[in-house]
Amino acid sequence: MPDAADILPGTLDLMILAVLAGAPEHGYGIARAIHARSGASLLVEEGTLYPALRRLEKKGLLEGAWRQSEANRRARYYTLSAEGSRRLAGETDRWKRSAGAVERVIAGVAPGPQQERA
Amino acid sequence: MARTITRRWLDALRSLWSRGDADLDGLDEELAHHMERLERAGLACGLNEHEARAEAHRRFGDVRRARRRTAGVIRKEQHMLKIAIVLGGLVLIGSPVAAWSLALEDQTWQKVAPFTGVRFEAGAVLVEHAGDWWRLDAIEGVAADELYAASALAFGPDLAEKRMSEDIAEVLGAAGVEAGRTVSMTLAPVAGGAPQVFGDVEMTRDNRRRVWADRSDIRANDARWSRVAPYTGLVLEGGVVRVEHNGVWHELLAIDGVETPALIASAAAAFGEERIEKRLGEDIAQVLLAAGVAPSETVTLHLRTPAGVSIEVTGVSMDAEKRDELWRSRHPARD
Repeated sequence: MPDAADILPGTLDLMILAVLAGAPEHGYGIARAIHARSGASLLVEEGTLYPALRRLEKKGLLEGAWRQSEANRRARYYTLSAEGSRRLAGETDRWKRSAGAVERVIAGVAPGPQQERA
Repeated sequence: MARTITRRWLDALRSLWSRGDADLDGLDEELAHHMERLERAGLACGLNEHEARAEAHRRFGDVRRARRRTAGVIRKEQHMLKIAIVLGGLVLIGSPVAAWSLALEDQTWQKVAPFTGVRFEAGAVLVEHAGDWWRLDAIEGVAADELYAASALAFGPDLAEKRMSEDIAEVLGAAGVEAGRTVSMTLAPVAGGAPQVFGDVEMTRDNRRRVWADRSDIRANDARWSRVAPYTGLVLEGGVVRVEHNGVWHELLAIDGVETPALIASAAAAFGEERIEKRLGEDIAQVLLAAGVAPSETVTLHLRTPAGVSIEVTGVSMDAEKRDELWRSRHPARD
């Protein structure tokens, strides 16, 4: 398994929107989805999700509602709004273009030796 | 009709205030749900109760910090809604002046700071607190580099340092934290040593003014401040200064906390008794500098309205167009 890496600034919102494009989910489920989809490569301090979720909700990109969770407990589920879908499409496109450009710049650089763990 | 509107307005206010508590209760339930699921996952992996709880805390991070930051986002939204409802109601029931004053008053909290000086050196943010310089690690649990990033995102890279120095309450807001009257600061000695947490540090206007003055050397050489004004007209009669702001003449009580008598004294000392009115009008930035206050893109005007109401208007731009208009009004023959 690769070493866990910090999330790049500004990408948490994009990942939250991407996870919610599939189905409504609560905070714990979103954290699990990011962990699983990244192949356990991304280190998310899960508490940081909540300010981001409320901020995205405030911007009208998500809608939050209380429902019964699969564990039979009340949980707050977040759903992507129409505006959120549009934002996700735009941000995904922008991210892919940026990542592709960086990839082309570093293409010729040889990977460094693996750091030894203490 | 008016009674119905008033009742609806009061109902909206009451519902918003009670919703605030419910939203924060909901947040606690939401965070508790997440922690419980993490603990159950740990137990399912064979950890004992104690280990599962520790693992849940490790993965979640600081629960209190998460709550504080999320509550900040919620409160900020509710705060704006409350202001909108209160203002709307006051205008509806015929108190536009009171509504206007309330709106202006609400902006004054932004001009405060918990430190008295700020420096940006070698990637670190240094702040002056209680007479000593410290490396700033965090405010309200938000790391200094996160605050810098929030400032750069909200106000642009060119203004990131300025805003972080002079408008920390707004920067905290941009980072999702609602600043109260006090904040906690995590500071480390500049010479090295363990960080210390200073709780309940007051956010005061005097601190902010000292930050501003401390950065005066940065602004003093800036040519932008040579020919700007925050008002479009000024007259001095019998020791009373009246200024034109947004087309209305008000008595000027203070600029950025410097009261009018002090402004007059500074203008007299720097430029001579016979040029006080001219300098207050056409060279107010230089007068402020002479009074020990560095000018900036915006100032706070403390005015007495024609109705006799004392108000503070924050964020008044210092610009060349206003200064030109003022100059033309004072020199009509040359226009």
